[in-house]
Amino acid sequence: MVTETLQRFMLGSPAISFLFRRDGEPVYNVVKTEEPLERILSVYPDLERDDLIPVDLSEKNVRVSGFVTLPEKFRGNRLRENLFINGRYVRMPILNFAVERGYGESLMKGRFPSTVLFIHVDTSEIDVNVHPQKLEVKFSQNQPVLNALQRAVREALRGRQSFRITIDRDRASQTDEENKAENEPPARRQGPLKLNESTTTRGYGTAKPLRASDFRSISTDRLNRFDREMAIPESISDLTLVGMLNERYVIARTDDSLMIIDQHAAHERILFDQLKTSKHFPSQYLTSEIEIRLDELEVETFAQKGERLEDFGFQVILRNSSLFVKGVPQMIDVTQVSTLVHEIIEELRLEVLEGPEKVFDNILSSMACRRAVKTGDKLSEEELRELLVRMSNIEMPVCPHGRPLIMKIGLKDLDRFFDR
Amino acid sequence: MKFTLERKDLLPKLETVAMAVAPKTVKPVLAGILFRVSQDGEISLMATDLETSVKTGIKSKHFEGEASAFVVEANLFIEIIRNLYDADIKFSLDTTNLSIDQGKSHFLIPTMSADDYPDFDTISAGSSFKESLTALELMIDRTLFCAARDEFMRNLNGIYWEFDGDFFRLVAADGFRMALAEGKVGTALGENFLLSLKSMKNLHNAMKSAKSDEITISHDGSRVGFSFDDTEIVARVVEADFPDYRKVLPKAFKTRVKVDTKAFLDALRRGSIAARFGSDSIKLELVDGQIRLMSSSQDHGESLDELAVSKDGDDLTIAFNPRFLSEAMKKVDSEETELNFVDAGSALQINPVGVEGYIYIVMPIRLI
Repeated sequence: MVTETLQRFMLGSPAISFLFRRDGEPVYNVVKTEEPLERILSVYPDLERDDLIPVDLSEKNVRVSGFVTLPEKFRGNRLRENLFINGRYVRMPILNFAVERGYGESLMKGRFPSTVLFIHVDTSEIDVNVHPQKLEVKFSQNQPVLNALQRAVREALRGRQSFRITIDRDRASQTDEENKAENEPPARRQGPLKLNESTTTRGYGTAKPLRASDFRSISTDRLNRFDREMAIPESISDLTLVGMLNERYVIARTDDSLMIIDQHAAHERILFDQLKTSKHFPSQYLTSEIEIRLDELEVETFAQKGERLEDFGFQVILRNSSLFVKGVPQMIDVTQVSTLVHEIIEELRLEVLEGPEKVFDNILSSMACRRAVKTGDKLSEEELRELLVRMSNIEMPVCPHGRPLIMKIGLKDLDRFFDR
Repeated sequence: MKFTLERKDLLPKLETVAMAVAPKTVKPVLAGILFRVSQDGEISLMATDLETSVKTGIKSKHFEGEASAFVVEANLFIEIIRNLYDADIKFSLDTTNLSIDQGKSHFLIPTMSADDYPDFDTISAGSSFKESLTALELMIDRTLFCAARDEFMRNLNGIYWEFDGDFFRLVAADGFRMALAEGKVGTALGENFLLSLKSMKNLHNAMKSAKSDEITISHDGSRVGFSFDDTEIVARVVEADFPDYRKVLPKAFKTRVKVDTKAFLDALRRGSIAARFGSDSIKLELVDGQIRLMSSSQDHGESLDELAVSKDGDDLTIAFNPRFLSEAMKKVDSEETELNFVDAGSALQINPVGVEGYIYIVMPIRLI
């Protein structure tokens, strides 16, 4: 806890030098710097200069500045999303959400960036006396701050070549204002569907695109009423493959219903169940060691609980502040090793709060998540069929993080929709 | 402008260049194939994803009109050509549309402007050497499967080319295993380089349609060119450091067994059936005169197979991912294979017996 609190102070006030001793041993000895970036690099030694993108945006009464990481440099939780309002560290979920929205879809579910963002607002616009530890403030108006934060992050990331923003959110949930903001006619975004004005006239006349409103769509209202509980089937068996949607959802059918399966979530569940029944985790040796730089907090945790990593199939040695990985759990790609190790150490640190059983499950679900096919991975037909077969063994049709992995649309639901 | 091409000449050329077409691109023109038709009816076809560019040539049968250039959408165009008969196909370009005719079949497709298409930069400077195309194709085939598939692993997602005196080596590794193939070279290129898996796959595929056995490889520091017949491929060198593969090679061995390649592969396949459904590991017990291959899984039982071998050195029990073993063994084309072990926690080196020039390294799995 001390290290964590101190890290926040260090990040929030780069112009102050810090010396932190534990049991007489200096843990941190950082000198004041003009450059907030230098400070971030000393607090998070696993980050490199190029991983951090400067953010700077001023809008009306709000200014957002600081640094965010590229989406590839994600973490498994929000602990590194540091936000400061007028210099003071705050913990307000709505701000975190705004930051993550700034990343759009480049950041997968369950992945979080590292950020050090300073939000400056006029003191007349906030009330700081709303939280006993002053970890929250009240804005006179939330929206301008949230918008500024989201835009600041997005603008900063947009300039990066390696960053691709794909905005592909649920159209139905867009507000009119958002629709207007994207000055593209709605029909264009409906996809390639174009029909001639009159289907009886043949030839290559200019097609008049249909407008979105010409179609009957499932409105969000309807979807909400479409009870999630009801849509999650009790048993999953005898699935026949129908097709794929967007390299994300597998479409399958049973005798009397349509099943829509989230490929990543489903695979994750299957692997999770498999891992839970394994007694031990084999470790695949690497041709060469991988070095992972740990921050002080992680070194501290590793010193106490590091041997637990071995239980999960890692073979690691700590030298100075770096972890050298010699072996990894099977099927974990070399690129995922660093993220997974950070996630597991984080989980181990929280063990006192969450209890060993929960932490064990969390670690298994991290491993399952890293191993599972990803959203966007193109699966062969054979793989899809295999996935469906394995799904029949699933006991809980939700992914280890609790999200549903299958949606059932019964014949009745369809009939109701089509007013039959 | 009008020209005629025979389908059987055109299709393989199209398929060669189409491999370089960017699958998903923000720039629509890159989803196309560039046609450049010269005054005397020579046609060059080109495609690029900005990392690999492929160019090939074809001579038109009848040609009338002006020299011109246009871009057609690759998928659409190939789909049309594939569905026609093996006979002459007539092409005719008016300002922006290309019509394609064969017998009673007629297609009219839009074209894109060639001005927006990036130029093909032939490598003119730098050094080059000639190599037997079939020999190089084999070297690529022996290494390609070991490269990391994940594009984020930039330094392992490709094949490393190393020049060492009279030899050059292709090396691929994914962190768990490594493949190394060696060839002779007349003149050394001097500098080593790394090419992406995608570039190498494009090259490998394009080589299949080659008619002559000579390929010229040239390198100008940032790009590598391959040319054979009338096809030219230029790939950008990946700016990443390939790890020092020599560190991975074991220095001394404690156990050596000689196996019949096919028999070992068969035993491996049978011995790992249970593994395929569960633990993903196969255990090898090396004792005098035989290897026992075992796998087991909680839900799928056990598989066991035995194979008579000649063994030198210590007994050893060691486990592997069966896929890593069989993928390497499948590439071995000698009758016998030598398996060289150090201990249960160190690399296995696979050497084909009697054939020089390629080896595999596979890391084991820790036994529990």
